[in-house]
Amino acid sequence: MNTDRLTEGLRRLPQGDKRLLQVFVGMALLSLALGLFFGAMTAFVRAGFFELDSLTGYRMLTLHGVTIFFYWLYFFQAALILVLAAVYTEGAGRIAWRRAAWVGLGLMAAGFVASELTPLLGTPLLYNAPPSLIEGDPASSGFFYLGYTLLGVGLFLVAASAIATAVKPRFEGKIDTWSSISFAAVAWAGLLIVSALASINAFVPPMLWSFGLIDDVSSYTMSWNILFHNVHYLPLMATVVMWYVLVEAVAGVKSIFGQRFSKYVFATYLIFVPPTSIYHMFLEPNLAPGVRVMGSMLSLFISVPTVLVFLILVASLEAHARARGARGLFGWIRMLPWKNPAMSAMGMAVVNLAIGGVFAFVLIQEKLAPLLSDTFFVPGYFHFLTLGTVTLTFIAALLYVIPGITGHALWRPAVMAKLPYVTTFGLLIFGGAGIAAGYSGVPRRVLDVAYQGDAPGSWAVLMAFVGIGAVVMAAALAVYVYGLFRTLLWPVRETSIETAGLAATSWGGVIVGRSSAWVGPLAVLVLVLAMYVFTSIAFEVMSGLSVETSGGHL
Amino acid sequence: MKNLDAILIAVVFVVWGALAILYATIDMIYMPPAVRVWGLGAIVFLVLAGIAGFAGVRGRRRATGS
Repeated sequence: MNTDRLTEGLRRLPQGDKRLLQVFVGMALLSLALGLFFGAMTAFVRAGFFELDSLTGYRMLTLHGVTIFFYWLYFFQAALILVLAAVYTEGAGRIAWRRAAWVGLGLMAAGFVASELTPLLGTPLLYNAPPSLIEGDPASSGFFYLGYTLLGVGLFLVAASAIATAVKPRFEGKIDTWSSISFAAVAWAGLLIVSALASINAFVPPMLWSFGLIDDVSSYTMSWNILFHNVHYLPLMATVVMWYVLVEAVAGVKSIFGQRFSKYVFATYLIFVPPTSIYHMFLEPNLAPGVRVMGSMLSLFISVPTVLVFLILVASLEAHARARGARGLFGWIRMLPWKNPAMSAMGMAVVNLAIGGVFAFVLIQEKLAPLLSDTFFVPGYFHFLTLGTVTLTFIAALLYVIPGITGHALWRPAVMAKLPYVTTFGLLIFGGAGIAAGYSGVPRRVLDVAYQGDAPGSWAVLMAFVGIGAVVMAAALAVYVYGLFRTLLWPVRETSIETAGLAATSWGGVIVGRSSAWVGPLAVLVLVLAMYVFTSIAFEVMSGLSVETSGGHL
Repeated sequence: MKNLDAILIAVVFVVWGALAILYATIDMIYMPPAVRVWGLGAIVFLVLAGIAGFAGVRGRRRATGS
């Protein structure tokens, strides 16, 4: 039986809201499918499974980054903030300013078309779109910058609609405070608006430059770095907010620390955004040494809100499970509803966040960033975050959102429940080999790393493992995409909320007294130790590289 | 606390605004794009805090009929 607040709230939304959300979800899934195809092609070429001419190869690489990072993650975030604002704001019950959200969706879709077609027909500019790559032919990429700008403006409108949805019941006197999830949605929407402004700040000047209207784009790199800091922070914030929502949906558990403490934690996400951004500038040659040290120290704070949310949720689950009779240090974990595909996706997302987080801290240290930033270490570790953490969490959310807005039962939940393990297995191969390749100096954006036979023999072996991992990940994701599209478009069987069929426990309602909950703090301790170990390994391995194989960094 | 939502968002405005001022005035970290983005962001959160606070006050008045 599944009568959680998320499913029930989605079911009660007006038909017009459901149609809007269905189109958002459809666009998100289309982006995921295309991005998956482009990513698999890129990985297979890098592994040497087949050859593509370099222009086509860079088109695949560019389109993979653009489609996944900007469109899959942001189409779905746009849907999620509308869902959370409408469902978790008491007295809302519908999306306010729905026309603005539709216009936002239209602009995002137009941006999607421009961002996809320009690299296909013109110069593949890579997803960070540095103008320096097209100095000889700037006009070839004007529409690429236009695509990103339209995406930003569209997100602005959708975020405004989400904020209006949450604010309206307060204006009407139906509520005098937001729930912690509503507050998180408003904070998240605020950061989306800031990111939209940052994207206009970054992309309008090079767009005007490429159309021949201005001459100076010298501040692009810095503008991109600031935008990038926001746009890779946002999906992580979305992820932990969704963990809050999904933990309640699958286990009936709310934070034992109360709504107010949750709001403090969500506010810290926003407070830590600007001070932690300096590490993106570590490759700038003119950055003062004192600022580098300060940036390195401040970067440690980037994980504080996420670690806090992890501790809150794990402690809340553990305390509720112990009140229900769980025994042993890890006995409560076995009691979770692992047959629910959202639970297994969330569980693996936590594991992947721990792995990706450890290596993120290796990368953002002032001394290591210049050594590792242009190596395959970067795609090796960040797929644990983009795919293993954020995408798995977003898929977990889709497993509830799609049945909620369509009334369709989920396609084969038992199959879906196993996919996170397959995905993570593929990631361990891809990421493990990728990180090792980065440590040994394999460059990040060079499709053929053989260097006419001059490269170390281990590079080809490591890239072959990257390709094998990519095969496994791509296969699991392809099944996910099929199952989610199938659920969205064709009714597997009509369902009501009572027959949604997802396993869930109901630990809510129990009185949680004083009890120990050590798994969260122990996990954080292991995380910190792992950071030290892998930082030491990075220094040891990279200090042993010769100047030639490290590309001159040493 | 009735105005906790507005107060927390206002704290975000203060932190972002202070950082924008630092980026604008200290030579060692002078970064115009950072000033623009964090400064605009501070204004966004100031507006949000204002809306949350005003909505709360107006809503309470409506609820009590005063």
